[in-house]
Amino acid sequence: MSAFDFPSIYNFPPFFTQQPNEATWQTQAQLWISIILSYCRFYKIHRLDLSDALTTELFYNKSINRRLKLETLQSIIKMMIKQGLAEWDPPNKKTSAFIYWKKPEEWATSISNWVSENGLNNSIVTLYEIAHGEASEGTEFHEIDQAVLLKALDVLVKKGEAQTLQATNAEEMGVKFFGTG
Amino acid sequence: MIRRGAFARMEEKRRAMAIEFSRKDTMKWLKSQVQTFKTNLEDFARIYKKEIRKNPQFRIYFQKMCGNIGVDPLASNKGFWAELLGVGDFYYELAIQIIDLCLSKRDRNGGLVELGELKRNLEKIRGSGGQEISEDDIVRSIKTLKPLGGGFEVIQIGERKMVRSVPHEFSTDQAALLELAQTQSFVTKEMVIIEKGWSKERVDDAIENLLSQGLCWVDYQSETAEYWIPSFFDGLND
Repeated sequence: MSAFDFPSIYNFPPFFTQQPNEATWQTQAQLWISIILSYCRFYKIHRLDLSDALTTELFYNKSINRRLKLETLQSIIKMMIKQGLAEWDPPNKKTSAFIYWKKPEEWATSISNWVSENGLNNSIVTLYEIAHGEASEGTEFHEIDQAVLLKALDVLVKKGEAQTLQATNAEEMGVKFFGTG
Repeated sequence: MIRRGAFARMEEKRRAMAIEFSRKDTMKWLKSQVQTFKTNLEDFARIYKKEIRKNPQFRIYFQKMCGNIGVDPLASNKGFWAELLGVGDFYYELAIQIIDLCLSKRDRNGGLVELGELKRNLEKIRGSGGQEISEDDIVRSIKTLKPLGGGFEVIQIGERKMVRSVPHEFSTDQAALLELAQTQSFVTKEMVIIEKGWSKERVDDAIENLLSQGLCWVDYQSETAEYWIPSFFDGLND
């Protein structure tokens, strides 16, 4: 797999210091958000543990020896949450977050399209099959985080397009889709 | 004495008249020359229309020739020259692209971008199929924007030509800092004190000004705080 290609601002030393000027900081945070989203999309990352992530290349540029601070990253995640692009997990702690390079509603659409294309409507599919099954290989939600998948399915349930069937563990949990096609 | 005085006056008058005549002749001659030149220039433009549009170097020469006789092909979009060459449209389109680019990067660089960097970015958005452009074309386009009052201007900072897209002028101190930052893309307060001999308060003030206008970004992760000028940092535009 080829490596993620960072934009040039990643090599700009002050990019790793939270800018004191409010307008500049807004721009800086937006640039970070777009890097986080493309990086997570590239490596199919759905959840970031903040302290772990700060030691990875995403927030630590070894070649210029600059790294982002935890408080700065937390502020960026807060902005992402406001834009519906992230969510704290667990909700009351600011240590990890889901990163929505696709929002749960968008995942819901992708999944229900996939279900229709594969003629799986009205049959029962397990969560495992959706996330790890052969049939979902090559889709963007292959290897999706379970909690994110549940959020996506919840969107469909609320719209009356699916129904979940409980099992002893989450992976064996089944879903029945009521779409057409 | 009297006779000599009258003679002298007559002689003076005669000379003045001769000068006047020759001046009139010269003017007449010059006018006809300019007219000939203008006609030639028009023929030239007609013949090399394609080349003028396509080749930026050729365009510079042509603009110079026009400038020499006070013809500005850009002066009016509806004018003879613009119609003949379509250069009015060319510079108009280029100007729109310059505005677009400068505004989209303004939050990042405080409205200051190096001319060469702007050219590279313009080439990117114009694609390989577009007409080739020179820095001279960009400077001309920016001049056509002046009446709009958006503050678009090409300014010289040290050895660099920069395009400024914000309406305020730089203070002398700001300009001095920008010039000092040219070699390394950043300054430190110590550097300024040593190089310029300013007081600490004056340095603080000038840097605070640059920061508040978004013209510089601070890096606290070096030994002493470094104040970076994004528009000097190569390739910072994707």
